[in-house]
Amino acid sequence: MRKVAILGIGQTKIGEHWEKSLREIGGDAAFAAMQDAGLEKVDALFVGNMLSPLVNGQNQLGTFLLIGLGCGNRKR
Amino acid sequence: MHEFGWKHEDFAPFSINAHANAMHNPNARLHEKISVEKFERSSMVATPINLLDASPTGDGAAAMVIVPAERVLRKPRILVSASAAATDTIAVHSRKDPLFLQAAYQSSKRAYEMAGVTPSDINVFELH
Repeated sequence: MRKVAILGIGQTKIGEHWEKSLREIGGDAAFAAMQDAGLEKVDALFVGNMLSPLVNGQNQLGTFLLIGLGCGNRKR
Repeated sequence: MHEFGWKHEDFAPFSINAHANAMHNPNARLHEKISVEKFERSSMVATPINLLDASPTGDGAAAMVIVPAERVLRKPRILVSASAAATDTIAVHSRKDPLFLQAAYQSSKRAYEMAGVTPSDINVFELH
């Protein structure tokens, strides 16, 4: 296995975030990790999640959350 | 309960302990001590699992930025020593032994070997 290390971390509080969307919650954590790492962009995003298709009706979280990170045409 | 003769109230300490520990952690999901009586009175979610047996709902996210190790200049470096995965049947009741987490065993064994450590070398286990 290639030698890799953690450059930055970020997380949201765990609770009831009625005012936030799935994209905002995921984006907040990823953005915080990027800020901690001092990075403006990343090469790849890997998403782990349980139950989003069931409770949110949302699959394809990798692509979905890239927009939350301001990648593509939408700016954060 | 069926195989070993335990009663539902025998499982109360798990929930009571978790709720009690949470009082000391400002980041805990809930901050409420519960009693055996409250445990036994709580609503059934899916028999025999009641509201206080089950995980509460909660939302949140966590993220890490992982880079080639040589890019991390600050010390100490947090290296990813190993990564392994294994699968099992979705339903616990379909397994040979519902009380043994075969996938957890296989994947952790492989991870220990990759990292060159044993369980006794680990300070903290984050389990889910």
